[in-house]
Amino acid sequence: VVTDHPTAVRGCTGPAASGSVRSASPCEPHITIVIPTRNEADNVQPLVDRLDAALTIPAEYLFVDDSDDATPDAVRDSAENSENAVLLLHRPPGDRQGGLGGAVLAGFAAAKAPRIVVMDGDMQHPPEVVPALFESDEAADADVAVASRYIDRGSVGKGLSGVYRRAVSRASGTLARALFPRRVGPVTDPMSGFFAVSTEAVRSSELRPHGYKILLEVLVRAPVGKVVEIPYTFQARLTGESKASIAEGLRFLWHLLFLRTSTLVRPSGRTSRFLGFGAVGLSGVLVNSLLLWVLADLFSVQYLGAAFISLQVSVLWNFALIDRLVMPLASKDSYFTRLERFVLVANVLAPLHIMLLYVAVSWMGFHYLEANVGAIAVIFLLRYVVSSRWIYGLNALDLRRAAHRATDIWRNSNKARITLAVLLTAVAFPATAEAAWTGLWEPSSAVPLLIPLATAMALLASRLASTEAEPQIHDRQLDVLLAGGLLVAAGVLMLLAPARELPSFRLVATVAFLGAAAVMLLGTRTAVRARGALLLPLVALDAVTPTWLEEAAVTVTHNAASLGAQLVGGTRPDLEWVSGAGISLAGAALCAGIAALTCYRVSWTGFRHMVAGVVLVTAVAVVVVLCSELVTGVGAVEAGGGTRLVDDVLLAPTVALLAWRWSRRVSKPIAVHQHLPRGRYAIVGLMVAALVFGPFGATAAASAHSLLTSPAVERTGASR
Amino acid sequence: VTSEPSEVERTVRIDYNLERSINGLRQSRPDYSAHITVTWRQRYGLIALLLVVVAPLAVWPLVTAQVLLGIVMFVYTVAVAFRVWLVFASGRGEHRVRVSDEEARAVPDDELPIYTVLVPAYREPSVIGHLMEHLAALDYPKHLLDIQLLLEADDRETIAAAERVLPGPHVRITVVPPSNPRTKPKACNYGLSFARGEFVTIYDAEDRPEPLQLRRAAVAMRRLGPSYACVQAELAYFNTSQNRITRWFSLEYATWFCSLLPGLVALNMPVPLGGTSNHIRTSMLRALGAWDPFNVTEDADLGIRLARDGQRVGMLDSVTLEEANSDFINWVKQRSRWYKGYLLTWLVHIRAPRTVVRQLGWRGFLSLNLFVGGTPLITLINPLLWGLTIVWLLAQPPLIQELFVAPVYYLGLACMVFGNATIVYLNLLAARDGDRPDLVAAALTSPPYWAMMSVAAAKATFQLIFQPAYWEKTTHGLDLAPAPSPVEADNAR
Repeated sequence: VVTDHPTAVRGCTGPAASGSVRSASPCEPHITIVIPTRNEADNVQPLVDRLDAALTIPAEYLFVDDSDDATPDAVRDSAENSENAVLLLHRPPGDRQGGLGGAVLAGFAAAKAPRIVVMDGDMQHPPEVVPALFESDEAADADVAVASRYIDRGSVGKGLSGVYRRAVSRASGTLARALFPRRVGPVTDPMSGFFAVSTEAVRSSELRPHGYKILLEVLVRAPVGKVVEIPYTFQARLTGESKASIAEGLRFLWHLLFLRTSTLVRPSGRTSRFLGFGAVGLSGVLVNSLLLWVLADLFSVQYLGAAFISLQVSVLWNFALIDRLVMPLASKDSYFTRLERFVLVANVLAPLHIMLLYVAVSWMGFHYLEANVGAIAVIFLLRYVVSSRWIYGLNALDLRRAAHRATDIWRNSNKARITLAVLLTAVAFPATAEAAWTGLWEPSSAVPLLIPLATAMALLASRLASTEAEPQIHDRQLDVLLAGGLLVAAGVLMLLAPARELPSFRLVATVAFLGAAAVMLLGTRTAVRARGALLLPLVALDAVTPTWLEEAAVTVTHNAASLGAQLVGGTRPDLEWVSGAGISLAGAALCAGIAALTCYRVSWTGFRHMVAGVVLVTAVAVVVVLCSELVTGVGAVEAGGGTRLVDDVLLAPTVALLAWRWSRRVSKPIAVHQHLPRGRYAIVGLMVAALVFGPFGATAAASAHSLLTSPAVERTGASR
Repeated sequence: VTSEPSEVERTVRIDYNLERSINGLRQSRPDYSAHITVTWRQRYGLIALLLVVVAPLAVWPLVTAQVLLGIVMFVYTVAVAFRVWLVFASGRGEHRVRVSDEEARAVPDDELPIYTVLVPAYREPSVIGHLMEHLAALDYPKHLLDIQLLLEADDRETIAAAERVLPGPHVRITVVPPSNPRTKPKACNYGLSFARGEFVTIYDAEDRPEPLQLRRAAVAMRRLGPSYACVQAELAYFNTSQNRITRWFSLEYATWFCSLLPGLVALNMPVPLGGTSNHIRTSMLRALGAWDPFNVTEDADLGIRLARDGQRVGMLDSVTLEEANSDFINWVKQRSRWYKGYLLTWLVHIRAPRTVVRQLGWRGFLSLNLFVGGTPLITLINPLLWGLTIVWLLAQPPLIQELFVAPVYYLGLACMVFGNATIVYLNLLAARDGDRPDLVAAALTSPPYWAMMSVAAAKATFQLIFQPAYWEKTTHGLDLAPAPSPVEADNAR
């Protein structure tokens, strides 16, 4: 059967459609399910049955068949008792352009419903998930809904046999996300062959899929806005043989690179276009500056005139590149019209350029080359907006959208929020921030801050997202109360010890403030979940690391050092350095312990991990001591920043890696929308608090401190 | 053709039962209703009190602060002493009504009264199935049972879930029409208007009442006679060992129901009833105006009202197992509601102090202030004193030294050392009496739990001022495994 158009094997059931109606479906389907098949005769019937059972709305099943076996007959048979329209688009040998991807494209072209679901015909994609792809709350207004194997509850199951192939699948997905961070990045499973998309989106764009990665193509090329993911479990193949292969993987890699380079030319995204415009402009600046220098320096042309001439040349250069590489083809005007306009824009702006140049050189005393670059930079944005609007009809600058996107990050990203909390804390406690910064690089008698900070960040990486195990119960009043309590605690601590006298009070106050900020910006539940990370900076306090631990660690490093000395046969190494390494080790061990407790709580497992962590960091510290002795020669190891730093720089990532692994293993983030409290008032309040604590607070604290600590008799006397 | 009902239609459709369950008490006994948090007289009283405190604070700050601290310390001492007194009283004699299994079963069916069981629930479709199992386990003749599930009209999910599992005519769904205030007592009042039973009791949807409880209550009520309006069964938790919070919570309940409430009964003081498993004579309840829909601890309030009306409350020796709140935030929400309700109840019942003293006697009045009003207030003040202690330990600022004049200082020290030790000891006693060795560790580590209470008390105070009638919803079913997502459920089908 050779058909250009899919044949309706059977219409939807109903009194009129009973019997063997073989015309176009009488009722409008709400979705088209495109199922590319190749030699899947045995899978068709079960698939249709399960789809029938799962779906509650009228649908059409469009089998795009590249088979050489009895699949077409199976499709026809299955149509006999299906509730929905079953259509067959058979592509005979020789007419199978684009392979699997081409088959899906053919399906897109033939689909009649406003929404399309693409799924495999080999039952690896459970039909029961289909309704969730367009019915669930998240999917309802999304342009693309991806059934993902990798987010939380969905799992790879037993479908992809072999660790190797699973790794290949995962790696190619990661690669795609890395190459297209904005469009593909948020999708955990861009390799999924199971997704829903609006028909309009795929029709309006030019898709050129190679192989089977049609979703990637859709995400990269189609005008896709909101993308959601629905978890599912990849099923074992019912029958037939799998078509995924290593060669396919390599072909995919090639395609990915092709896609990346081809989308770099005439990019569709606003940001990429802007960046492209900027890159071309940068090359234009080079041309411009070179010419200006040649004219003004070698031919002694007056610099303003020279700037005007070189501007004209660089405008031509810019236009050639921008028109060829950056702007979309769609413009209806001719090449020369565009050129004229481009030059006109540049020359309308030229007086401004010359004026800026004059002001910078004559009044402010800049060199004319610097001033020229500066003038170009100032005018760049204006030129970009006008050119793209007037010449290419593009809305270059959508401030509302940009603002929306910025607030969107603020609204949805817990990482952005914790960063903000840390920044606010730094504003509130500039002294601590400064000490932390210097403490990162300079050795002191306490544990270097680098180690707890690295551990804290590793813990935060996976502990910010809420997990399945916890209930989604939140309370803003509680947040405000706890944050208020923490702020009061921080304030009292600061009052008791004005900054410079008691750094430990200050650090505890800082942590309290950080806690308050985290509670307000992330909510109590998230702040409590990440408590380990928020408390870890305290490890840098002298008093926190227990003396016995420090002594034990110093003993370890000392013994390692003497052992090394014996091995090399030299004198004893510098004692101060070895003690410093010991303190770092103690800190690392403590951090490992806290990380283990945070991840596994007080339990036998927690204890086991703690011991393992301590053993690991000790091993690293010993190796570092031995190696630095062997490398630098005994006695050459001196107290000072450099060598101590080696120790910290190796210990910090070790602990951080442990913390990262542990916390990743225990936390299973939920798929539903992560709760983030409304931050509008919280941020204003925290900013005020930060200003009161930081810039404005010092004098008030000093006076209040004297009030608190001076005897009351004097005070009452003074007030009278 | 309009689908909206016309003005006339709407007026005609007024549900008088609903109207009564919202405004019944407010109209019949406005002085008992919490629809106004503080009366005008109380407001002026409070302002006067503030003036009396603030004015001297401005003129003689130190002396005033010293005096205030002295008062607080005195109240602390009295509160601790009162607790000890209660525990002592509860241990002195037998104040629980015991009905043996044989006695309970021996009553022939035709001598048993009709029993109304009200089960209010809101947005809890997941626990309805379990609820039916636990109701089915009740050993009581079906034809004498009148079980009403009180569900809110907008809660279609729970209504649908309940409709699927209805076991028979003895269980019916009463849909409460949408109306404010959205509180459990309003739903209960609405259910009460359709109640057929001679006795009425309330269970929460996640409760597991002891199967013989209804029979025991019926026998107990008959034995106690008409001077007793109500018997309160003991509440305990089935998920004690879930985590630290549930252990602390169980211990607290053990203390509450095994020492403190029996102590109140023994000393003939008003008993703030527990939220569920209180078995009340329906006629008495109706005569009293039923529950106060504007009070968020309508149970405690009812206990005080019973006492003011001269009715007595007995403790029934039968246990209903509830779900202990296992989540910190959920716990704080629930506890803040309780504290808010206690404060509300206290404010309502000290509106007319002289009348209350006449009705309850000085003992009852003392317990009303210390037990109902004092519990949340003391918890609220706690962090201030802990803070002072910590600041003193950290930096010894002279200001604090001056605040505590010698007698107050020693009193405070005694409160901190002996008071806290006493409370821990009483908790230990409760664990021992209840034969719960698993709770001993929880008793010894209770201070963090007190800190949680203080957070809840602060939240309660905030809400008392800004949202007095708001019902802070507690989520149930947290002891169950997480519910499967729709997709998974589909996959499983």
